[in-house]
Amino acid sequence: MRHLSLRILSILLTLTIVSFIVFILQANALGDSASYILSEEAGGAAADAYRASISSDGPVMVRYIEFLLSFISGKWGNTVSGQSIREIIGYRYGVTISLSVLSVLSAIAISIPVSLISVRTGTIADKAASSFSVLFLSIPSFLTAFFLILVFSMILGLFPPAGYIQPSVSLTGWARSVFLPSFSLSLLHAALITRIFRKALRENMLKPYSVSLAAAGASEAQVLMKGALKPSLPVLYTLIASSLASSLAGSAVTESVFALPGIGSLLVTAALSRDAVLSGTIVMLTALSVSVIYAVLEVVLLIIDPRSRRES
Amino acid sequence: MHIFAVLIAMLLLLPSCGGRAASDSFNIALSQEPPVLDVMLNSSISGKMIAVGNVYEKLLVLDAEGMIRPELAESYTLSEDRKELSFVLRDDVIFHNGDILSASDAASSMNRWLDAVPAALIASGGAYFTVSDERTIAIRSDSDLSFLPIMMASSPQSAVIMPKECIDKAMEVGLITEYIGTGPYEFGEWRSGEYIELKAFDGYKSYSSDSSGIWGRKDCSAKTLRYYFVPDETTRVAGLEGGIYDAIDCVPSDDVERIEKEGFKVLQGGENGSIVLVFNKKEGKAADKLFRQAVSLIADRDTLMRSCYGDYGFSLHSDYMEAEQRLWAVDSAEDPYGKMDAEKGMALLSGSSYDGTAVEILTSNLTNLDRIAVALASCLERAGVDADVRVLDWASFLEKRKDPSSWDIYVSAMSKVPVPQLKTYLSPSFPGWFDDPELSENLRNLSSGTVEAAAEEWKDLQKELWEYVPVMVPGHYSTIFAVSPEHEGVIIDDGFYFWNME
Repeated sequence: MRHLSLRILSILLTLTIVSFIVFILQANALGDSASYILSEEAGGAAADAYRASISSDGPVMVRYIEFLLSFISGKWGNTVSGQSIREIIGYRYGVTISLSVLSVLSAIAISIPVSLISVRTGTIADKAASSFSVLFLSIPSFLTAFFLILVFSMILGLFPPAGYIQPSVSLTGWARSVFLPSFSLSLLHAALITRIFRKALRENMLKPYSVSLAAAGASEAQVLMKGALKPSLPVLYTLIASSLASSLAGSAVTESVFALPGIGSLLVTAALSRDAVLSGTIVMLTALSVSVIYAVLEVVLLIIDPRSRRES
Repeated sequence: MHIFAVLIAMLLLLPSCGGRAASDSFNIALSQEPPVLDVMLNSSISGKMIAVGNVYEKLLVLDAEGMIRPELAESYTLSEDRKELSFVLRDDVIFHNGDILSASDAASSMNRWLDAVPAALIASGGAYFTVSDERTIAIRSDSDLSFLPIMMASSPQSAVIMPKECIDKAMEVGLITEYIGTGPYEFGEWRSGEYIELKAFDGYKSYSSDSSGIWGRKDCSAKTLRYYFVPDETTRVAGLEGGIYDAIDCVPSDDVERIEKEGFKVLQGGENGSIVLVFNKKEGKAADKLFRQAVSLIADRDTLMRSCYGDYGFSLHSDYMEAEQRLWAVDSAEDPYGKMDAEKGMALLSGSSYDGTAVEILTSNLTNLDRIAVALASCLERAGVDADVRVLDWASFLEKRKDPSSWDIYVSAMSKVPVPQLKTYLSPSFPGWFDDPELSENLRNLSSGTVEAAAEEWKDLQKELWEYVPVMVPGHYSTIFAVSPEHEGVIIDDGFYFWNME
């Protein structure tokens, strides 16, 4: 119970610090929202009415506290373009979450079999898996995205190159619209998971419990599955959690290439339009999501790994 | 692994969502999402392409020949002394909310526009529109109103007509948030970051059986227009080729020839505006006219424009006004500093007060303007002049350029304006600080007579400005559009319009 309380306290502290930094940076950035929204030549009472509507008088600290209170009460207000922040985020966060979850599921589906098959060093599978990891960890994500568009959309014509279809409109259309972007993201995650998970498997295959199994006559596959796999799972779960967290927080480039209305591109727009409230809200939600993911990870690790329980 | 393979196979077997759109829906991919659809306050090209002409209409518009034609007005009259302008409204115009267009709607809309466009308020002599009767509005002023009609027809901040309630609400909340107009399409839905949908308005009546450019007959052959926002140019082109989109804007130069060979129609819009290199005339190196003339000769205009646009989407002439504005055209061959001559430029530079320190070039990363700044720095460095480039985002750029101590030249884009008096860089208070009293006086005098007389005077003034070099205009930009082969009749103006498509 004490551990849980401390964890919640640390999440709240993280949210406050992160949102404070973003809010202060946005509030003190050069330029203002009016220069983004209004034409350079706009003036007079009409422009004054707009400036008054977004006016942010008062000390930054007071405005930040007002923002925090509004965030907690769920009254998030409007963007500097006059649209409801709650509606926009509700819609766009759904896109990012579906993209992130699908990309991580795809990454799991790719990386676990690849890691298990290629665990023995010096084999063709090992070299292929190593090449796969190095390739997709070093290629920028937008290049992977363009390559997939070229192959799957332009040459094979199997998936649409851009756009998003809501699942409520067409479930199959939605699946097709998010396949390429999530696959594009998943290759990066899969490369990372494969690289580190394989290393963990190899290390655990050399541990005494695995050696004992081998000495008792177990085959290499049995040693891998019965000896090395379970102690490697904490590493795997941590990698999955960090992949999910990084997808939620930073898929703006992929969203831009595939013209997806996600939260990453919205954060870029919020920063360019000096929309401190929108930026702060997005950052709060993202930080909250990431914190929850890592909290869940901790709980899972406590359940599956006795060492974690002892340490905690 | 097997499950993964089965999932992919299932996805492939699903009915395609990538085929050409149904005939009653037309999908357009735009490179930019408009920040707002309040086109009186915001002059973004994407906002105008979506809202002006489709959702909103104006009292007056320019036709394909650049002539002023009535749209929501049945007629308009300028009094003999040119101090009273009156508009008789058409009596068959219905707003998308079902209300009939009234004189009070028109007057409220026009007065908000006058407020939002300081140059228009100057042109009206500070006067506002009043309601004369239920179908007539008028403006009476102590000043000459000759310029007001052309400004109403083609100002970048559009003089559109909407219900008075929308105007009143905007004065409370700051922006127009209900998009109710009189055009052939009514506003449907705005999915942030994804698309804006317009739907054909059943109550729309075309005001003419003829059409010329964006003026005249408007038949909604497509029942739905969906403007998707696709910032990446490669994805836009792939979407056109893959059948997701029927039309796209901002086609990259590298793809023009290829998609033309594939049968897509590639169309170049009119000049949307000009690239301007604004000199700091308040302090520093560029306060010396010889320095400005030298830079104008050293910079290779073709290199500057190609660095940003590639092989297509620009034209090289140093007129401040755009080529389609024939009334204001001046032969740019008469610009004494309009053609690259690095040797002469260096001679001028050596006779100037230039102290040999680095030229500070300021720009924004908006629409690749930074590439032009880098190309300019490269031209200067090739001639032996040191240059530093500072690239900021748009909001920071606008703020930074107010500080005369932080730059010598800034690179920006200037939207097309209907009359030269609206060129902001010719204002003494605008960053760049145009400081010649005689030329300023001549510019002010343009507004004292008819538009035709002003155009004649402009020809001399343009030559004087070329000599004075307050800015350097390396060229003018236009948008390259591409449309799928099965669609005919797309109207190309400053944007692309689809109401009379076959």
